[in-house]
Amino acid sequence: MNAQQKAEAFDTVYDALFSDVFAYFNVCFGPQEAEDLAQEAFLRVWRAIDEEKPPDNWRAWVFRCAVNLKNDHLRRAYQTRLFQPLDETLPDTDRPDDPARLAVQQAFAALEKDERELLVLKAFGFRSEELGAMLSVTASAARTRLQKAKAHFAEQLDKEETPYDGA
Amino acid sequence: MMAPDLNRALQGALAAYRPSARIKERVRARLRRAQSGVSVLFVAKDSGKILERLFRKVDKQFQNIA
Repeated sequence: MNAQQKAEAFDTVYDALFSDVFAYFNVCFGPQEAEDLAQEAFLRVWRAIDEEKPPDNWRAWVFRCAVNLKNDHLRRAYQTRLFQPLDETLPDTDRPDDPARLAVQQAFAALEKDERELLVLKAFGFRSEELGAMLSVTASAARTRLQKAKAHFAEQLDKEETPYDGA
Repeated sequence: MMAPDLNRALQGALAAYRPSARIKERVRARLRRAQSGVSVLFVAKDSGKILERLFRKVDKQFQNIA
C-alpha cells in the first residue's frame, strides 16, 4: 500500500469506530482520559495499517485494544494512587433539556462501572463470546454478568420513572 | 438479545458519552502528525522521564542520528 492508500484505510477505520471507542473510554474514565486513550487506541490502528498487518475484524480488534488500554490505565492509576472511584454524576456534556432523556442518563450513571462497561460493549454489538474474550472470562460468565447489568439498568429506569419499560 | 425498550434506553444514555465533531477532528489531526513522522523515545538526563519527540521522516538531522 502506498502512503495515500494507508491514510485512506486509516480514515475508514477511524470514521467507523472513533465515536464508539471514545464513548467506551468516556463511560469508564470521563472525557479527558477518553481523548488520550482513544488516541492511543487509534495509534495502534495506524501501526497495524502501516505495517500492513490489518486484522480480519477491525471492530473486535480495536475493542480488545481498548479493553487492554483501560486495564493498563486502571493499573497505572492505582499504582500512582491517582485512582478515583467513578463518579455517578452525568458526563461532562450539556445536560439534556428533555426530562425523559435526563432520567435515562441518570439511570445509566447510577450503575456500577463494570455494569456500564459491559452494557456499552453489548450496545456496540459484541456477542457474549466476544465479551468474554475481551474481559478474560468465559462466555457463560459474560452472559450472567450481562443479565445482571441489564436487570440493574431496568431497575434504575423504573426508579427514574422513564418512559421505557425496563423489562 | 436485549429487549427493544432497554436497548433504546441504552443507546439514548450512550449519546451523552459520544465525542463532539471537534474532539474527533482534533484527535485525527494529532494522529495524522504521528503518521507523517517518526517518533523517538528517549530518557531525559536530568529528570529520568521518558519523553517522546516527533521527527519528520525526511529530517536530515534525524537521519544523521539514526
